[in-house]
This record gives sequence, C-alpha cells and structure tokens, in this order.
Amino acid sequence: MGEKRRTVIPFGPQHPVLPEPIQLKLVLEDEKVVEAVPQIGYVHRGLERLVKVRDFNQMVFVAERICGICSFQHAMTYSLGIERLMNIEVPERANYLRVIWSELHRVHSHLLWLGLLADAFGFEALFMETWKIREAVVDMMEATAGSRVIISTCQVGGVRRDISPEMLQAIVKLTERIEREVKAIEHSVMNDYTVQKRTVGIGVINKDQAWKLGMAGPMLRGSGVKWDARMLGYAAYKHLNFEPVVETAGDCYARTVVRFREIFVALDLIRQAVAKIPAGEINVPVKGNPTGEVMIQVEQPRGEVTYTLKANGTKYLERMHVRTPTFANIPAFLTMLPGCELADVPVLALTIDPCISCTER
Amino acid sequence: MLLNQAAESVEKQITPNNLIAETQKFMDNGYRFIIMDVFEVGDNFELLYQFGKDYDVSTLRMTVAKGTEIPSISPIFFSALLIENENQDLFGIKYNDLVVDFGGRLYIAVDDVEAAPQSMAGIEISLVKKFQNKADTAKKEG
Repeated sequence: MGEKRRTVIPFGPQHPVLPEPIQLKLVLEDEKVVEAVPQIGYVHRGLERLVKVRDFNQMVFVAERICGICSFQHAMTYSLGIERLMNIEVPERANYLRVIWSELHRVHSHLLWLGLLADAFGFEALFMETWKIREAVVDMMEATAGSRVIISTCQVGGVRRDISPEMLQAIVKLTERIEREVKAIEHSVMNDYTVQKRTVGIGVINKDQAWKLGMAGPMLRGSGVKWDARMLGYAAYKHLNFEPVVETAGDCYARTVVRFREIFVALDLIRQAVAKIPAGEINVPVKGNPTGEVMIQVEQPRGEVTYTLKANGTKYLERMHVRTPTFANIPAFLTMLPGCELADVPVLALTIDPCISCTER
Repeated sequence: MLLNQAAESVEKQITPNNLIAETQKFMDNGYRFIIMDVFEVGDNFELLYQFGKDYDVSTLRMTVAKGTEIPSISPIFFSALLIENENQDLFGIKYNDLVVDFGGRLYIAVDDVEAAPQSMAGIEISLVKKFQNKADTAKKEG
C-alpha cells in the first residue's frame, strides 16, 4: 500500500467553537488527525509588564482583567501573593467573602462552558438553558458588587465591599434555585445519546499522563487525580468541608461530569460560607511596600493558576508572572489530538475550556 | 528564597550543567512541572523551575549570564515547551533541544502568520529558520 496522503488544514484562529482566537495546524490522513501544531499570540497584551508602571495596589485591577470569566480569582491570587510578602492578616469576614465571590465565579464559568459545549454539538436548547441559569449568577454579582463579571471587590488586605445579611440570604436562595435547575438538566444531558456519542472515549488521558503533562483543574481531576488547589486552605477554604470532584475515565465525558458536579460543590461551599461568615472588618490598612519573592496557587474554574511575584521594597513590583490553567492544559490538548477524528477536534478544543486571553495575558 | 503557601519553602541552586540531571530526578520521583519563572537581574537571568508533588512545591534556581544557551527540559517534561518558547519570545533566552521550537515567535506578530512551526516532529520544524537562512543567504550574496 502506498503512503497515505497528508493534508494540512487550519483550525482557527476564527472558528465557530472558539470564543477566542487560537490556531491549530491540523495534519490529517483522510479524516484522522496525525499531528497538531498550535499558534497563539493573537491576543497577547503584555499585561505582566504593567508592573513597571502601575503600583502594587493598582495591579489588582490589571490582574483581574487578565480574564473576564475568572476575574475575581485573578485579583485574589495576586492579592494573596502581596499579602504573603507583607505578612498581612486578612480579616476572616473578608476571607469568607472571597470564597463566596470565587464560587459564584466558578458556577457561572462552568455554566458558560457547558453552554459553549452544547453549542458545539448543535444542542441549542441546552446552550440557551445553561446561559439562562448563568444569567442569574451574574445578576447576583451585579447586586453584590455593582458589576456582572469584573467585579473589582478584591483588594490587597481584604475586600472592598461587604455583603449585607439580607443579600447573603438572597445568595443562599439563589444557590438552591440554581441547584434545582442544574439538576433538572443534568440527567437529560449526561444520558443523552448524542452527548455520549461525542464524548465517551474521546480524548482519553490517563492518570499518569495527566500528572506528568502538568494538567490542571477539571482536566486533571477528570483523569482521576485528586488535586485541587483549594485544599491548600487559602481564604476561608480551610474552614469549609469539601472533597475534590474526581472521575477516572479521563475522556471528554468524564471532564463534563466533573464540571457538572463541581457546580454542586461550589453551591454547597457558598452555603457553608454564608452559614459560617463572622461579623467584623472586611479589610485592613496596608502600610509600606512589599519585598521578596512569592508563588501562590489558587483553584480557578479552569484549574490552578499560579502567580509569581518579585518585589523590591518600592511600590512597583519587579516582576509578575502568571501561569494560567489553559496554559497548563495546552500541552495535554496537543497530546490528545493525534489519532482523533477531525469531527472530534471542536469537542476536544472545548473540553479543555480554553481561555486564550488568560493564556496569553 | 521563593515563598509559597507552605510554611517552609524548598529551594536548590543549580547550574546549566546539572539542570537536566536535577530535572530528571523530579520526573523519576513522581513530580509534575508547574511553571518556570524568569527574573532579570542586571546582566543575568535568574530562572526558577517549580515542581510539585501532592501539595508540596520544590524550586530549582539557576543564575545564568544573558546570552547563555540553556538546555531545554521539554524532552523530560513536555509541558515545559510553552513556557520555554515564551521565554525565547519575551526574554531572548536560547534553549537547546526544545521539542517544538517556535524560533522566538510563539506570540505571533502581524507579519508572522506563516512563521509558526509546521510539524511537531521536533527536528527541523521551524519555517522561521528557513526564512532566516534564506535571508542570510540573500544578504551574503549581496
């Protein structure tokens, strides 16, 4: 038999399933992908360099603009780093408020992702349903912070805004409603023939590979690795009961199950936080400038983000380096593609929940 | 010393000569590669390689003069390929044996659309190199 003819086709940078630009050069033999080369850089903004011209307090606002979907967790990770360098004790109430806003972000991010996945399948009704549910979460963000996505409530030393007892109860009611609504769709989605056909056994990464490839978040846990940065106990997570959600199949279906179940865990964490939140201050004054080097890990919806900061005792940092979860998951994505069918590439692309703005900063 | 969320940080000073051996130890002992950070310190670069096992983080710190070629750890930890390419782009650090070398153009510039590597095979992969060779030849010829 002669050698199979190879074709190279560009996937992206503009593609219906990609909310942000990334290009894959796919090398195909018939319909099978044999190789994939990524090209990124379409939205590289050089945000890390802004530490040279924005002081360490202003940089909170820059950090949260790295990503529009997990903005609060970017701001919190950065703030945790500065607080570690300056030995700042954040008031407990602020720690609980950080958990509440973080988990609201996780819920809206997972629902957004589920809608995008449904859209990729052509499952329009699910797309509309998940985004309808998500809408209530971003409305709650607006009610508590004044903005729907980039809420700017985190600051070095605590948080900028409090949440009233009445509003905390409204959040609890919202979590109960969302739980009902997500449960109502979970069964029909996860047992749907088409969903299973497009996800079961597709893009399998086993536990050992997942760890060695440095995967993050639901990707890592979907392959059976019980690792979740929230277990480090930052903010108020050390006072809350939860277990990382783990699935073992390592395929697209397992990652979807992880994200579904993480919505319920996030809702439970919000309720626990509301039940335990103490009264008191929400921030402490920050005096002086940071010195030293620190690396902080936080669990965003897409996985672990790391912030490495270097400070020199002035109000401007020397260096801020951010490693986002999508940055960690791209090598695994490249590993998954060879051997898959061309028609599976959109689902595989979405299964890593790619955030390109995060990745390129 | 690089702080992290643990009470005590674990850090080791290394050189380019023992970077690969030290990295291999982490792979052999079940660590994952988390990230590499670069600090510019005068005429030197400080490179911090961070590895994790369970919830512990260990750091290798290496100081090299700017312009020094550094062995790539991507043949050991494939996940290092993006950050090493990023460092080539943003700091001009040169790596030997990168599994996929974007030739300093991971982050695409307006005129670079065709410049990305064309294959993951890992040997001669960069069109950039071909363009550069062509340009160099043209320059020599006149």
